[in-house]
Amino acid sequence: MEAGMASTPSPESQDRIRAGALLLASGLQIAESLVPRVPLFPWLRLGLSWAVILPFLSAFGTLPAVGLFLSRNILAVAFGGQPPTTFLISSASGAAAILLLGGPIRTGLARGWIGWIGAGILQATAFNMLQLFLVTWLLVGHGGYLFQMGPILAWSIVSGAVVAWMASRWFPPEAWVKLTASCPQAAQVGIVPTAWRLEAVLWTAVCLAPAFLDGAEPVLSILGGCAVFAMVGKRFGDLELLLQAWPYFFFLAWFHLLDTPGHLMGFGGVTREGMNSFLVHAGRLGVFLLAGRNLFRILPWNSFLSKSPWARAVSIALPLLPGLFQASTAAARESWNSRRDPGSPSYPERLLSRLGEG
Amino acid sequence: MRTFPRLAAPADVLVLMAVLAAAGWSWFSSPGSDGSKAAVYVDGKRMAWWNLEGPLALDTVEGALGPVVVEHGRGSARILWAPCPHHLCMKAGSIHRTGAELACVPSHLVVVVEGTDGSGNGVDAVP
Amino acid sequence: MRPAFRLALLALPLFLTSCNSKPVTRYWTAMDCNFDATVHGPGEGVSAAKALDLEVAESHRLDHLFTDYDASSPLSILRGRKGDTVVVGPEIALVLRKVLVSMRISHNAFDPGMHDLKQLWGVGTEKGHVPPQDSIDLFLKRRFGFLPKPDDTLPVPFRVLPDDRVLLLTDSLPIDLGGIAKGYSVDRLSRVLDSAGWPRHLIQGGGEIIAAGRKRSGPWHIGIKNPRRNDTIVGIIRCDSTCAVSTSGDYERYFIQDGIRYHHIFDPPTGHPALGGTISVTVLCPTSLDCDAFTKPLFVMGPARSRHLADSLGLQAYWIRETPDGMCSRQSLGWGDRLQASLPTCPVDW
Repeated sequence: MEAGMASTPSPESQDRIRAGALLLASGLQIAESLVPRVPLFPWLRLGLSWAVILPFLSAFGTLPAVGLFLSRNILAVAFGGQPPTTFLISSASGAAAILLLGGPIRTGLARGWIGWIGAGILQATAFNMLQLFLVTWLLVGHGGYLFQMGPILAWSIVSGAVVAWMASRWFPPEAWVKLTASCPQAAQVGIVPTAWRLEAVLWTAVCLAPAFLDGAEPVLSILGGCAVFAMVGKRFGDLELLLQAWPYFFFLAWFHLLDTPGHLMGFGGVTREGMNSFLVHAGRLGVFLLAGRNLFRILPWNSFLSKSPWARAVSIALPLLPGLFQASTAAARESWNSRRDPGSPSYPERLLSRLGEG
Repeated sequence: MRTFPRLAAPADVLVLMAVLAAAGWSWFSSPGSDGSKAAVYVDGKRMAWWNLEGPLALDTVEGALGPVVVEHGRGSARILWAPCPHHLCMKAGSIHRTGAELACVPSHLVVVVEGTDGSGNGVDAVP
Repeated sequence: MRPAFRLALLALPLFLTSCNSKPVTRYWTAMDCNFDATVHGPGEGVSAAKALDLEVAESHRLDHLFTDYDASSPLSILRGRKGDTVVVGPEIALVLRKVLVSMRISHNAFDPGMHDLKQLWGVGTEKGHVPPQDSIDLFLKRRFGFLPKPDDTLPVPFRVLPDDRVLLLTDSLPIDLGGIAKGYSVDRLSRVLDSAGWPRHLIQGGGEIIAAGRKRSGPWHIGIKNPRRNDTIVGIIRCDSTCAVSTSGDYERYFIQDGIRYHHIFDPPTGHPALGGTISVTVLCPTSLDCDAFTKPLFVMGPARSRHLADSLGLQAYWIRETPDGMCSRQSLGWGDRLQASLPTCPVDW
């Protein structure tokens, strides 16, 4: 008898545990992105967020795991600035891998036929292979690219094993019950002001417009407008939010400036296209943070999105993401200090509590 | 009360061996590799670089005589147009092997395919 | 302290990715062709960038040197009157001596006086065409003094005297060193890198390659281009230490008229491009000057006439021929296991 979503008591707890898992998975994904990529082998990542997704799959089932994976991708795009093709290919491969192997892995884990290591290796192999084939077929268009299959398969063993080890440490049986208590609750929304409809439309437009613009000038000018509004309205908390989210901007700089092909500008291997790409994505993130804050304040999110539990989970997790870096380093320090104390809360519990407070 | 899942179980070894075998087979049966990016040098200065894996695209680089158009993507690169008198580089076709070069000498321009090859079948140079 | 520590941790990957011991390559243009030089570490003298700067400077000096004498243009100082003695300096004297050796040993398969003939044919330009036989005969008479038959001994255009002097034996002959100057230059460039403390390097220029020293990751591998599909190779030469490789082929400069390919490697007694069947020859030699001196003659002579010559000179050669069924090859006897090639062997009579 597996623990399913139905066995946790209330709908609110289900939202909380989803939001918690989402925050953990997204946090690991974004943190891992801060490590620079190896040239020629950009897939050489451990995929640490699978240390959350795999246990989630085991505890709650295939479809919830797909929901977690896709929501994690959406948050990673919002804060990590991946191009749409990467997002679509990663989402399609991951969802397909979970749908294909989720059931067998879950059964195998529950009956003791395979352990976390076997599950981790299988999932990593399926995901990486599907991505490689999709990229070769859609983007590259010639089969020579598949020469990377050998190294990728070998690496899947390593990454799958590492993820499995983390999963076994952080998610012993019944860990989800304890985690639910630490997960952040849905933010209490205050009285919605009467003129909210017009303001909401305005802020939605400001939030979404940069997503459709590719040039640095229009995106940066929208960002400039939001910053001026924040300063004029004396909403210094909004500007502090930008500073708090500096790791994301650092990651965007690293991701775009050094790795984008094009015409070199003459210093440090930075291309014109890379500089443009960085400014566009940094601008989009800045607008999203500043304008999103206003949007979150005035819209009753949970009533809008009540039909979709993952949409609700995203709405809980989104405003907490800017503070992720600070919360995770504090939680890591606490975990390290109390590592010899067997009964102390695990790193995921600490991280989620800290996020919930902030 | 179930005690599963555990960190490791007997069948994990089977999973490991299967993936290792697939990796080994795929490694030893793959052909010599192609390069992954093309770089353009004018007068020795690196002017631009592009990934070769990706859709076909055109780019213009300023050579000594004027703009040179390079087509790159889908694994190879070629000079589509150059302002030199005899257009020898345009007739030279496309390159895809690591270390392969296309040169427009009057433009002082070279297109080179770069990237290490994992399988060790690459050559250091082709005269 | 804490924020600074976090910042330092984040910055650490930046430093890790910046230390590399990858080879350093420089590309440049000199002597009307593209050069590139790659140095492999560790270097024992100046920095890689400085060593490559010295390379580029040396190639420009050599360009200037061979252009001062303007060896490939009608304004050559050697284009004097028959009987004149000209002082040319040690480097040009060395190259001219090699030219004479090449001419003698190859029995006229190479001649340095083909410049005007090449202009006549226009190979490699848009005006490439088969000239009328009268114009070719006129050139041959002016060059040699008579219309040569294939086995005639052709007169040399100059003699090199001691003290780096040259005695001209023909009137107004524009000298075309046929790329021998490039071979000499590549050798010189290699010596510059050696003395700059970078003994492990690879230099390419004008179809010549010199691979020097032994790189840490193993022997050098030089590819043999497929003459009909230039983006693939048909063979690999393994060099365990210093070696020079040169390739000449009919695909470098050519035009096609009436279904026949006319290329830029001439058979001097006939005044036509050599059409003996060879479409490419790759030569492995101890120095680039040797390679340059003999690659075109070996092309013109073909394997039947020159296999033993190659062996006696200490060179290895690999000839490729085009047949209706594809391509086939022949090679000299001393390759051992240094050559891995994928083409079948041609029938014995070639």
